[in-house]
Amino acid sequence: MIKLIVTIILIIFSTSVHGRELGQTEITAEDGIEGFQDEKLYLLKKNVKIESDNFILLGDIVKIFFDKDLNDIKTIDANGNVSLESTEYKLKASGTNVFFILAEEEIIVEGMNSLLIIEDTEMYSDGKIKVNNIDGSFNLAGNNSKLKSENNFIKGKSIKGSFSSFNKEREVSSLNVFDEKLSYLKTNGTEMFANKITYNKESALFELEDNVKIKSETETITGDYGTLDTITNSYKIKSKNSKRVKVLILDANE
Amino acid sequence: MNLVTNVDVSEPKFSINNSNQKIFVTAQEGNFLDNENILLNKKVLFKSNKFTIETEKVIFNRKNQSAISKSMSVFKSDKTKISSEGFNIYDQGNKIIFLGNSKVVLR
Repeated sequence: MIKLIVTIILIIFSTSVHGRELGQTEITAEDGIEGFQDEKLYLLKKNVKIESDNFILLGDIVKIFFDKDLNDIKTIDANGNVSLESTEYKLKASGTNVFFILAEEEIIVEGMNSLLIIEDTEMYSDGKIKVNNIDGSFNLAGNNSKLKSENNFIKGKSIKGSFSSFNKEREVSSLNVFDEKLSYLKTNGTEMFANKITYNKESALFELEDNVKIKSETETITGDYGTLDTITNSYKIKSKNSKRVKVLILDANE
Repeated sequence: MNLVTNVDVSEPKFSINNSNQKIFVTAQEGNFLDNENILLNKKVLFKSNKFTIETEKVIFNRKNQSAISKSMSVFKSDKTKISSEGFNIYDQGNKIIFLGNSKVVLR
């Protein structure tokens, strides 16, 4: 009898705590919801929480755009201390604004201290982070833009490129980094500095332009233009003025 | 025996018309507040071919065809349920604001 009562209490408790059923999206707001039928839009105010099977989103003011009816979410435009978490996509995002286009699997995070983590790739920016999960493209723009993964660390004012999947691992297949001060990239123990750094997986080549510096464990080379072959792990540096190429060889025993 | 009530209208019925839909408004009781506004009480229902809203107390403006409620309200459409602490329906029913703590469940 006691067991039955406990079971009933547990059922009541679990249904009251976990009100959302599988397949449902639950949206709560403390300061009301404006529904615009013609525009197919809900505007939600204050401590908004959207919880579905795939994600949880929190924000201060959230606009939800629908497709045909007011139940099929097309786009979420969230503002003010936004955080988004999706266990299905192994995704975490936070920023001042988060714009999430569900069908196109595109996410844009904006504002100071923007953060986007997808699987083991971390992206940071004080400007904008944009990632499309379908075509794999990414774009980080603004101060303190950084991309970190297991083997790479990239820093620059503009970091553009694309991811591809290889053996279910996400890897950078193309890259274009620019910073008028200096871009930075570290991969497999080699550090690269230049105003512009590009990479293409097909050619397996990093290309560096202006204020170039390549730093390995044993030497540092500076110049105006450089390439690094990731297959042979060899690099070349050129200079507009050939006298300007400088090599600093470090003693491994030092 | 004569029963005297404070109700001006029993089972009042109104409608809100726009280009997309017609919204019928019904209640058990209605009291005129002035020439334009009427207080609808008990089992107030807004019903169109797209949605229903149920609540217990609404002020309906006949001239503007708008309504405001500060009572617990439940909006239901095909795959949507919205619970709120009130609502404001205006622009001939095209725009609805759900007031206070609100919860939407989409199926």
